[in-house]
Amino acid sequence: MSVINITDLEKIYRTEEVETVALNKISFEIKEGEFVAIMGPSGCGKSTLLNILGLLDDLDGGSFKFNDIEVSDFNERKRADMRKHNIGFVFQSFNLIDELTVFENVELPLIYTGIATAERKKMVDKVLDKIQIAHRRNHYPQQLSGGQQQRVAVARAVVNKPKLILADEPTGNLDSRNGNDVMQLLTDLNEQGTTIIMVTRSEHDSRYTHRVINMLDGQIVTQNIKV
Amino acid sequence: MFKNYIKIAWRNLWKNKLFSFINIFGLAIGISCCILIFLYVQNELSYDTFNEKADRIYRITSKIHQPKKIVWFAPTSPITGERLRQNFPEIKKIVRFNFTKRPISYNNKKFSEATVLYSDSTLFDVFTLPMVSGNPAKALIAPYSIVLTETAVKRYFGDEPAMGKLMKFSDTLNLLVTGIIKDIPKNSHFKCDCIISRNTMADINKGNSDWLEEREKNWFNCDSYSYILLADHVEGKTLEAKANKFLDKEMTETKKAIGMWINVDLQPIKDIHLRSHLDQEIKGAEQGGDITYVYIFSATAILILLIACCNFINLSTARSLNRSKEIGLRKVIGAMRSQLIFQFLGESVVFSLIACILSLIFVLLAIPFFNLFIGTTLTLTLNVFWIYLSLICCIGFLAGLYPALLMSSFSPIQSLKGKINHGLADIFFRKGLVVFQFSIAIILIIGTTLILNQLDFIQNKKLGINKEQVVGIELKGVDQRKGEILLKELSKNPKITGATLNNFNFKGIGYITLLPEGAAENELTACSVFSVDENFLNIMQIELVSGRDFSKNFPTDVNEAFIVNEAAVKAYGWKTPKDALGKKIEWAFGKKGKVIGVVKDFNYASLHNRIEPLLIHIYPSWYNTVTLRLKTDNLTTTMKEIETAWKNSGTENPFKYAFLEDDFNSLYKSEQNMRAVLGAFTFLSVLVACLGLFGLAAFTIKQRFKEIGIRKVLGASVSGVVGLLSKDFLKLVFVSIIISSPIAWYAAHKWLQDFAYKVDISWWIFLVSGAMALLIAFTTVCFQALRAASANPVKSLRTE
Repeated sequence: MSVINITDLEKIYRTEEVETVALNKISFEIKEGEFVAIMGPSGCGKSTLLNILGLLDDLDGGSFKFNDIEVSDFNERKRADMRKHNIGFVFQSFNLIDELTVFENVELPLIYTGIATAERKKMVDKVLDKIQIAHRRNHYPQQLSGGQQQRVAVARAVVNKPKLILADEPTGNLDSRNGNDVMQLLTDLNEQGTTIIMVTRSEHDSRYTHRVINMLDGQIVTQNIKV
Repeated sequence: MFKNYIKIAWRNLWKNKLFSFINIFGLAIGISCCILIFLYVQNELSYDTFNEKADRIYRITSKIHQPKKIVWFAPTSPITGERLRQNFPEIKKIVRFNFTKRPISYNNKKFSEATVLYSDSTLFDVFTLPMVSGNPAKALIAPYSIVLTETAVKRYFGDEPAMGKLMKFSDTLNLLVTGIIKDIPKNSHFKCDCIISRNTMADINKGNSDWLEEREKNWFNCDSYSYILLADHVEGKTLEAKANKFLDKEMTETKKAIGMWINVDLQPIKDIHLRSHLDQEIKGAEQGGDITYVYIFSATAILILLIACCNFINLSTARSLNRSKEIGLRKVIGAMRSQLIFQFLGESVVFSLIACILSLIFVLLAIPFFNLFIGTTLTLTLNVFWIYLSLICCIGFLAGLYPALLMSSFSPIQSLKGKINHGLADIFFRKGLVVFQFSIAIILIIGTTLILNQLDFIQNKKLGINKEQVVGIELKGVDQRKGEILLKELSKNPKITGATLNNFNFKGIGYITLLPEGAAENELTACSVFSVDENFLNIMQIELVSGRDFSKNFPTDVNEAFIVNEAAVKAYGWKTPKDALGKKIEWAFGKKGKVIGVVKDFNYASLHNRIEPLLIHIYPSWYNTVTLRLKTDNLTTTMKEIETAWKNSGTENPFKYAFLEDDFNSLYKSEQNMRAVLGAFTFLSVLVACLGLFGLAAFTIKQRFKEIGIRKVLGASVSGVVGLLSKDFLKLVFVSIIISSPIAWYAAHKWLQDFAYKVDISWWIFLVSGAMALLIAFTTVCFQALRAASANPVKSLRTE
């Protein structure tokens, strides 16, 4: 079963004078349980692609099926709904909310999906245990190291048990040791069945994945399937 | 979810202390103003509502039609009220008031009552004045009955029982205490502590048939305040029309004979305090209210609150950049736009809630001062709770809506990257808010300056009468002869340069109807009048333009001489002041005489009014004041000596005096109140607007930190950078000046219409106010700009 199936996906940025084709008729499929890396130089369109896959941005042409449902014509409301139940996000710059504690940051997606307080506490505690940061649950993001912050961000991404995790250069702001920790965490999650798509520029990180999609100038150059 | 919002709001509040302080403090000031004004308005509107039948009580006021004009008096003649009651079954009850200054005493305990009221026995049928002891149905039926308030009982009797006791009236008459009522509420348009049955008045004069004829039967003897209680479902206006038709018929003959007739205007009792500004209005302990001030104060308070709301809107939007990450993240995680809107609205509600709590403290602190300035007795009531509640919601919504809509509209990708570009419309909107705030502040600055200017003008205007160093000793209720003894005694004092007996008073003098020579038989006209002795004009330094002053050398002056003013000469069609000499004047009832002198027009009443025709004559039984001109040095000793002379003169009345200057100034009490309140409001509005500007400047300059660094690296000077940063803000203030000036001019023009004598609205007021606003704004921005401009450029470049 495919989590994502896109055909002839197009994304064009228009300003008054210039029209830039960011994604030029891209097609690919991602199956459940896959761990895929998207690679390519700056400006090749990989982040744009990730935003569209994450239902954060809309497309200008082609078809996009998420869980076999056509989502290209979804409005903001429907997309938000789809997002909160199915997709977790991990960012290069962590994007934790400074005013909330570790616990509260992880709890946030559960609040938006409307889960009851007691149940939320249980779920958050469980996931914090799993990433071994439970002892820091009442700290604020600024009080944590980068690696710890990214682990919290991963925890937040998975607390809702999403089908798909989208990671945008998750190790980009980390040193290699912390980076490895985070990659190991993602690998573990993948082994437990979560589909992961990761944008990266690091050859090293891409080795953790099953497959690398190489992009250049808005097009897919190779889809290298490793065994 | 809600808990999460509150948490974020609370932590944000602590994290950005400057932002929170500006918003909360500003809102608290705005809310405090609103609450104070609400209390004030509530009090003003509550006048006379304590009367259970207030909706059915009307006052009969009289419009006296004269050949050339209509005079509108608050009281009417006793007969008008009586005739209307007899002929209109719609009038259930009528009660008529007269006021007297005769002294009341008990066991030689004499107090100077501000007013003593004569009232018909129907008083308690019309007004709700709960009786503590006595029978309301009977208390005021017999002549020489007196009803006291609890305060008066305490004053005269202490802890002794008062009912059934005899009190002295005018030192010789006996009054029987027949009832005790609760004190008349403060929000009553008439106030008094002693009420005497009205037929006492007739009984005192029972030997005098002229009096009865004159007082009770003359249509034009308008001195009784008459209140009627209408039957259910009777419209005042309908009855008024019917009553006037009746009066027209009733007075056909009179109209033919003397050219005058009376119409009535039925005034709802609840309108008296705020909307009635008639001649001969009841003089209470305080001045009547004015609906204009209710409007002006309310509008100003709301405007200050709006300025504070603008601060919130402006700062929240400016700050949205700092929060873009949070917004983006919430959206990525799956927040709906509506949820975000709700969150931000919630935050502004939290802010306004805190501001409300703070304002409660402000209000409690401010009430005593407000009461002092305005002369009210406001207290915090429970009603305020509802106002607070609605303010919290209103402000939360008003201030929070725009930022909420704006911030929730950010695209998640852009906001995560921190790349929010405020659209042109948004920037324009925010600049508009600043312009709005400063326009209001400038209008208030101009308004206050102008009021100051006008009051100054009034106080320093040459009146044509010298009011400096003049004190009036009250002779009300004092035997006429004792007054003369006192005058002689005081004249000997070397510290007193002149003494005169009279009944002149800036606060109001009488009217008389008269027939001047040259007018047709039926062309009676009303004229201001007061009586003086031979020294008055000289002591008051009133200039004669022709003829002579009263003089002891002409014994006939006492009975048949008049002095008029220039306005009278003109009004009566006499060619020149010289020509006026020797002209005959005949009162409608009584005195006849000739003009012996003409005085230059002088302001004998408020400068709200033009100078009207005036008649001055000698009439000893009217004297109620001995007026003294004092030497400037050692006022306290002089006053002490006067008091000793007063005591030696043998009168038992309390010593009461007033400086003419103070009397004159009290005519402008409502203007002075307005200046005090508006001055305070102006200060607050400028303060709140500047706080906003300060915050806005802080944020804007922070955003331009890198630009400032680059400019400095390239060689810009500190002053150059400050100029650059201030320019944008000063431009906005400049636009405000241009917008607000015409509005302020129009408002000032309207306000000044109320004065017959007024200052010109000069251009310098606008110039100075504008310059002041620019200066204040510049100082505010400058502080921030200087800090940014003098920072090390390397530091600012590194922040990227």
